Amino acid sequence: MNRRTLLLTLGIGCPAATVLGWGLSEWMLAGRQAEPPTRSSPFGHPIGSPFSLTDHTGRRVTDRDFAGGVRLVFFGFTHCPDVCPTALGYLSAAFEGLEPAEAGKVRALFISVDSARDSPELLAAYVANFHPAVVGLSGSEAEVEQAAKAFGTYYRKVPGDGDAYVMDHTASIYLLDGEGRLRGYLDSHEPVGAAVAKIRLALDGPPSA
Amino acid sequence: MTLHMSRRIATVALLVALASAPPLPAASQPPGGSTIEVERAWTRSTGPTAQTAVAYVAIRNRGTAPDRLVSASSPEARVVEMHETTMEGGVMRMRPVQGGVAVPPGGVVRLEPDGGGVHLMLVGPRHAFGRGERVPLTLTFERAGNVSVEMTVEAAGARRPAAEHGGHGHGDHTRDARPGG
Repeated sequence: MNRRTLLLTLGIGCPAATVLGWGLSEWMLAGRQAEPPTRSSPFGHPIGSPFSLTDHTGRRVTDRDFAGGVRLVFFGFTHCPDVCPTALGYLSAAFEGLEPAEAGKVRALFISVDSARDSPELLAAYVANFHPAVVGLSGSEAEVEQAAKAFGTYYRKVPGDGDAYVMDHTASIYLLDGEGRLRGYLDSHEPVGAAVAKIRLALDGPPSA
Repeated sequence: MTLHMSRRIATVALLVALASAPPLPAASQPPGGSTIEVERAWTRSTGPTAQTAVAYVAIRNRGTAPDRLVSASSPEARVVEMHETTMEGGVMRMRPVQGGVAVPPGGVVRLEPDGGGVHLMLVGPRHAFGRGERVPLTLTFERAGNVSVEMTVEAAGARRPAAEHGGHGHGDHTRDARPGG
């Protein structure tokens, strides 16, 4: 092998191998991410991180701003007059059922999946009808998509007449403990006392093994 | 005069008219002796920027013929739509009701929260609905025609009206019917 062939082989071969290797590893990583989670239950595992959104007062927040406290997380939109107010009314009633010292350690996050319409101003007027512990969160399409991904929440825009549309969305109310682990779900069909009991369990710390 | 000004004047005029008008009875019978009674009409309080509001009613058919709620309107909303909420696999969906809501003879159809059923959506409320106010609503039936009621404004997340005893036929034995197409 002469010197020219060697240089040519190294000059083309090395970059080509690098590109091929990089591409292959990217492909393998993407494949791994697409695999379904292997664990059988989401309970007790961290959920809802990361996200970066704007709260109803206009302040930029991330999931870390709510760390340490118990969180009740519900996805919805302010054009929803039926199910969303019912859920937020249920959460407000649960807050009323807690002692003030307990309620102070709990936040309800109402995350809007309607990034096109729900501004912080609209959310502020919407959450003002409920318990002060309810925080309205909105963001750009990409930010909301990331937040939904962090919780494994589904949502979809459904066109209606003209420029009207509604949003399909997961109706679960996620209950996260202070460590950000999913402790269960609240269900607005259950008595408010059930929600209060579940929130207290999450306030008490990790479940005994 | 700007559009903004004329809107403001219209809103003030509406509020004044509302404040001075005596409340209508919760159920009214149009001339001709309708067999449809609308009870328990209520809505939820909303903020000044709300784009939608809700209306819940119980519709009683005292007649012997089936009837059908085909549309609704309110002077305090741009349009009133009939929507059905369904839950499939944990996902909430809201869709327009096709063909109205059937009200069988001798039955009561309840449009209420949480039923996984039908509600009326007031699109473009003209102003905030405050608790204790009353909001007019007209329901149009295939046979009975128009029935006008006044909705009480309840808390934003209310599941039912605060004052449940309106004196309209409690405790009788008409069969309940689920809202349906």
